[in-house]
Amino acid sequence: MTTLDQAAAGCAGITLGLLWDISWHASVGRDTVWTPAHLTIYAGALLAGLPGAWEVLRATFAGTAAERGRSVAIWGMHGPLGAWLQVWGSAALLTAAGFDAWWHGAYGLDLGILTPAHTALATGMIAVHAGALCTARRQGRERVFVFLAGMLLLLLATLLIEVSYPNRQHGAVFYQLSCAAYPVVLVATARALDVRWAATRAAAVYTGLALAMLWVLPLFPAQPRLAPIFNAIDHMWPGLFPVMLIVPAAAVDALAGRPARISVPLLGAIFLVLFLAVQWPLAGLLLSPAARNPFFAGDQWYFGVTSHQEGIFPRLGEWRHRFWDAPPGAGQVALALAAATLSSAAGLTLGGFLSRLKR
Amino acid sequence: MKATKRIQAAVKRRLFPSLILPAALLTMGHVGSPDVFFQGAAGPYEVRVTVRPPEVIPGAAELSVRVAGARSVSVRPARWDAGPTGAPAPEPAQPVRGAPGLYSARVWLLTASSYALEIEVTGGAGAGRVSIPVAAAPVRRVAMSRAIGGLLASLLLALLAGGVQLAGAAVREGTLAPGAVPDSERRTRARGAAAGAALLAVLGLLAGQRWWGRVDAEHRGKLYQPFQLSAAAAVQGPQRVLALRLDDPRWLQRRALLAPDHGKLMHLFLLREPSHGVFAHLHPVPVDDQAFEAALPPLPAGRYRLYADVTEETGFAHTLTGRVELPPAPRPDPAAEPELAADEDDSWRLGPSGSPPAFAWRNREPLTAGRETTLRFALLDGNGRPTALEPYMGMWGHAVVARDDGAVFVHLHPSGTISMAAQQIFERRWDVGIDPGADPHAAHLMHREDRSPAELTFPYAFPAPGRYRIWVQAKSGGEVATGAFDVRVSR
Repeated sequence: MTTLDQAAAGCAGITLGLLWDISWHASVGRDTVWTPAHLTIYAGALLAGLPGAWEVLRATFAGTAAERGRSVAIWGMHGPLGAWLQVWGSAALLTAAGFDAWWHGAYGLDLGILTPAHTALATGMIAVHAGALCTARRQGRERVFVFLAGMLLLLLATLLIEVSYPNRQHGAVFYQLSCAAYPVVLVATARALDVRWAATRAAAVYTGLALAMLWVLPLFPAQPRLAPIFNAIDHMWPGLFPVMLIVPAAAVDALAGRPARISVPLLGAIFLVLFLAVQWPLAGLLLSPAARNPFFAGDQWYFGVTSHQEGIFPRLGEWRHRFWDAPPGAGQVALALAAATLSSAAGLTLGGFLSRLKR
Repeated sequence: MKATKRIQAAVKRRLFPSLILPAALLTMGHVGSPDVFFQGAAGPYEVRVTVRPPEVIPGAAELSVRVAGARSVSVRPARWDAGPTGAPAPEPAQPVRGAPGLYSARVWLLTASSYALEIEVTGGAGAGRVSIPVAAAPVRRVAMSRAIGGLLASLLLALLAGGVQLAGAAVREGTLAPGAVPDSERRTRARGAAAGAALLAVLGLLAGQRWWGRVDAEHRGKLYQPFQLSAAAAVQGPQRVLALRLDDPRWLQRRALLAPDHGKLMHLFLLREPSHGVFAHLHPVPVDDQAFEAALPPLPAGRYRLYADVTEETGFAHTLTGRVELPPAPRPDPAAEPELAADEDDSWRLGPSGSPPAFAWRNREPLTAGRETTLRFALLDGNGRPTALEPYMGMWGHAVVARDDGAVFVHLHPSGTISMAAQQIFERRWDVGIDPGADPHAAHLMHREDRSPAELTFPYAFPAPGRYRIWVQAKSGGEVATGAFDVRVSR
């Protein structure tokens, strides 16, 4: 197992551990620092961070001049950029985990995903993935790169889970945040590699992993261990059906993959239009009775529905089968378009950088 | 014996470390006394339960259960409106090693609300169950300790500095051919990237700080604070009338409906300032949704602290606080008819009565903050023998504990600090074997004794050191006797 394989396993531990953790909170509820899901995340951070640290120490203290010549220097220490990023992300993640443990003691167990402490955790998680992607690119391991890009898409989708319920997929916020989060990864992947359909394959990896979690998680029994319980579930919460990134990803590959050139706003617009075209009708399907089966895992809810949406959704009710947001207006669509454009531009820059990465 | 006590103290310290610190003085059902104490029957078992409610929500309540002859003890939290069907599976309580008969458990509560902690004991005598009402609300804002703050801040600074360096190094050398030396253009671009990363880090830090500040302010806004009561006393004809208004805006927001406790919607205690030398336990009657009034007994004029115990229909018990200045009593006028009748269960103490029956404190011993104790009192006749007691509002006895600065106030019964009204609400709501037609007090005549006990016992732990006064009340020969005892509680 190479250090890159270890880093890839670490990224899988972080992202799948995070999905497991969210499912745990939605089905079991009670929490300590030492739940198996948390341990998987921390172990993932170490699995990716320690080989990076080892690379840095080796290149600095035992490396040949040639090895040091293939590294970047920080504070007199040498190491490949990917190794540095893995170390940094892992350290940031573990520091944020300490902050998060304090946070829970100070403000209670959080009921939402987006808190300052979790944002710090997410920064570390993304950095670890970015480091592993750099390592994979530098070593020319294209398959691992595609796998990691898919894992990064899954990580971003998981961080956005609160705005990604099918009930929110006819609202502006879901599209704006999706347009900010996904194009950067897809475009960078298409630009970074010399292989065809890299972004599409990364989207397929994301979809496959998300579906696997969706189908496997509910096979495990679980019972809520916090009061009150307004939705007595007896299995792990499956998570959400993956968003359909494959279609816009194929367009990104066709238009933005090397050596093609396309104007950035057009790329953003194409992403938004294709994403909307697929996701909008899919959202309707996911809310319909046709999705209430293990394949789509529709209509699956958190055990303490009331506390999550206190005052809004007092109990399981009709709201489950409705869209929650007003349809987006022109201004909101423009904002989504701007997000997709900026995200695509960032993807082009990062993808170009990765394609030229030598150290 | 000494060894046992040491173990008990150690166990208590471990179970309830915050009691030793001058921690949370904000609480609900009482003032400055957050922990819940219960002593009574769980079916055939005599149990003594201590609950330390969570200080943040969602959070865990910690329980210790003392019971003899049990094989297993479990706890199940049920929110008032979700009931047993919306409660998680019973949480097994763990026996505390080295302390036979002592069990500990943690149960998690998701929302700020009123809960029943259902304790089930099984053993040789079969199964027994009891519901302990607990009101949960965030009461504490934890400031970050210097050590943790320093550690996290230095890690954060190191990470940010490292991140800025990393951005610079990536641009300077990332795409550079192996072994090559970066030219001045690359170095300039690297400095630009580092500066951009530094700017991003500073903006991120500022945004994070603002975000944290918002969360913190929201948390502080949700902290439970005792509700204020406005009060005024005025002479009306031959009597003085105390008018109370529940007009605290935060109280009005709750739109609380009150439930009777011992047949009264409000139990009001007046303690005369500054020395708490005069005490009264009155039962104001509602005038409308927000107003109560009570005919005042012959208390001397002066300034009084007010503590009003009420229980919401959800079982959430509160002690409202206030102050009032009493005017001098009007001259007696046998011709004038008082408009407002006093409640028959009102009682007061103006000072030592000097005549029997009189209370004796049976186990007067040095008291330590945070250590559980049982306060034992007896009402003695002129010959020093316990008198026959009669139930006073359904209980053999009542006790009130107040610290001299008014920051601690608690109303105790032989069954502990719990709100009897809340317990009845849960029992009635969930139909756990209480006959609704029965005497409303019959359910909680303590210790299942239907005969007058020789002693009144109150389970309690003083929450903080200081000078306290304890008032004990019991009824004998149709009269309510009130005794007062001063005590110093050490750290």
